[in-house]
Amino acid sequence: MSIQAYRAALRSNVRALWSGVINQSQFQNEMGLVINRRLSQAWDEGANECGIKPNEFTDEENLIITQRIRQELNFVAGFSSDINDKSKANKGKLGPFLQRVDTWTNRYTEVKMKASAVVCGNLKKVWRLGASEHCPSCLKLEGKVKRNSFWENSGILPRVPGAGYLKCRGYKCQCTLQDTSLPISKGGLPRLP
Amino acid sequence: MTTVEQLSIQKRIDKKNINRLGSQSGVLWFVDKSKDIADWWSPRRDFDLRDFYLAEGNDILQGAVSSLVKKFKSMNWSLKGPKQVVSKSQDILANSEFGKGWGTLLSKTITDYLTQDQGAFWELIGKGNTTGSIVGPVLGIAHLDSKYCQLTGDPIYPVLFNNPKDNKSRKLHFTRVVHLVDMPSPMEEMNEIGFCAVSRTIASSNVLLKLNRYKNEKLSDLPPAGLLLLNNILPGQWDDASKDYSRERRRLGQELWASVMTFFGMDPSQPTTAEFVSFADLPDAFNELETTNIYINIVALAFGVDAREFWPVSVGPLGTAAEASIQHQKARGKGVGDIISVIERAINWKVIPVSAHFKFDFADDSEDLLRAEVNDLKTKTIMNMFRPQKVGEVDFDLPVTSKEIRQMLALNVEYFRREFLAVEEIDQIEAIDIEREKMYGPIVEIDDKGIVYIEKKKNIDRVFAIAKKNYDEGLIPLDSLIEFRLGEVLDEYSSL
Repeated sequence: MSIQAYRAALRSNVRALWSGVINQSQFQNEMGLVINRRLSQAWDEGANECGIKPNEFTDEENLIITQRIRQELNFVAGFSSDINDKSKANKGKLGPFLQRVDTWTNRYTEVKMKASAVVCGNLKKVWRLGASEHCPSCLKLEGKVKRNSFWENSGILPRVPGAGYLKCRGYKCQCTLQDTSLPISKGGLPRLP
Repeated sequence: MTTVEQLSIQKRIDKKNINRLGSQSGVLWFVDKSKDIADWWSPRRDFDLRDFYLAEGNDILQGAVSSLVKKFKSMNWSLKGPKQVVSKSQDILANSEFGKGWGTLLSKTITDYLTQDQGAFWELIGKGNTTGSIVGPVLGIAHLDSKYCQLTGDPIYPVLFNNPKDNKSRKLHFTRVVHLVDMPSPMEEMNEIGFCAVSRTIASSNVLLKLNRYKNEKLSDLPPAGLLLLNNILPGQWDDASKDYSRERRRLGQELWASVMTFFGMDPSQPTTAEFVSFADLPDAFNELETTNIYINIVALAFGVDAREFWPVSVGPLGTAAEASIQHQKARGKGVGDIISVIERAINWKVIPVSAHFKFDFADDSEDLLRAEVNDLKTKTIMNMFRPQKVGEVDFDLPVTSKEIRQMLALNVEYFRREFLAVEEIDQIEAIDIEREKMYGPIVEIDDKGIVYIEKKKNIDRVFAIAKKNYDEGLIPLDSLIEFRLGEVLDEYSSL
């Protein structure tokens, strides 16, 4: 339903500016609001397909959607000028602008798919103890949920022989990182080893 | 912990390199005041403009800039969005300009916006390599002196900042800079250079400046610029006399005869005379009040505001009180409205997270009074429906229930907050919104004083609400509003 809501809101704004009941400045502000809200929503929906919630996004993911939205906002001023130039008062037609709205609406699906591709390539993993004697480091890490990229970038991984961050040095570690839908653990990792 | 000051490219708070007052602003202070302002546009033009509006005698122009700056500084604003997000955003705005606050940031910004063709610049401060994009949210905002900024035309690095502290140029990524400009040039090679309000008043301001100089000369005890015709006085005699007098005046710090040209004539048949012909004179039928009034109107035109913004209201050349009210309404949509939009957009699109929304509270006393009257009328009309109706001995049923009355009041009368609604409008609250609410807190509105208002989510037809407001303010006719609404309904119906 959200994509229809996005389309309806865009059409309403275009119709309003074309018919002269709102001015260019009001149009640009409202388009800004609609685009911000709906494209964020598209991103959330795409991420939600693999169970990632908005507060679990990484800085990079937040940056991608922010820049995508701002890129879209850059086109608003030009669009408003076009509508204003060919407004009802200037004997212009509304139809061509409503057709252009469909191009804008398509961005919703694009953003949603992009979120799915970016976010779902970086799922949440939980540290689970294996069937062996547990060292204090692994016990501290048990149940910690972080995004896959976090584990990779921090270099804290189970079963790495010679791992300085684990008391057991990782030689006989049987711990694993498993996919999970549990919420991300707050804060950083505990002090190791 | 890394502070906003450390992340900034400006190094303004560099304790090892603290400037003494005025020591780095040689360009500003050594401009020859008598020189004409450079043509539009070269960097020299903005130096000249800054000097021009600060020139002694340019009182009305200075008052106009100051008046608008103060208007904006005193304007309330609010942030709307998830509670956690707006709290952080409010903190950024309140502590902008390295802790000096929103008022200081706005004062510098509006001054540059009104007096510089290049416009005003903000540095957006955040983490990440300072030559690249900001990583994570914006952590602070600081004004950039436009005389050290250079527009490049590159969409990725739109501004070069020539730091006076270390004499190095830094390119600023578009996520790290905001450029606010009045009337950006359509010429591609001009890279968005604008044409500021002060630029639009140069010719008229020059007249007032010259008038001021003329009055000063007339009122001072020094000779004005002119031609001195001396008859039967030897040049040597004149030199001796004027040198004696000049020596005394110099001792008092006054320059004499600087603008006087002397001619000597020798005709023994004529008596000794001295005649002075002034270079400058007022035009025929000159009226200072009329000239000033015309100038005020020109300044008001250039700044896009009502002339009464700068000058006291009275019946006369500036119009009547009734005109004042109409002009006030019209002016809101021009200069002030334009600056409001420019700043709101910059903050909403570049500074705060996309889930929050910043807006100025652009209401004034007359508008508040009008709104109160309208609300009062609406309340009376609605409450009339809840009065027991009795015709003769017959009691009639109330046309509406108490719940319906509450709902009507909440929807139509402003000071009944949404919480007053007996029945919440929840037809289109979307799951994703609820999800976000869980993460970041409920949607709230927080004003510049930090007072929080919680708003229940409703599906409001925002565009129609704006159109209706335009109609209420007399900006559009009723026919247009109805036609627009009808078009919307048909559009909605056809897409089902």
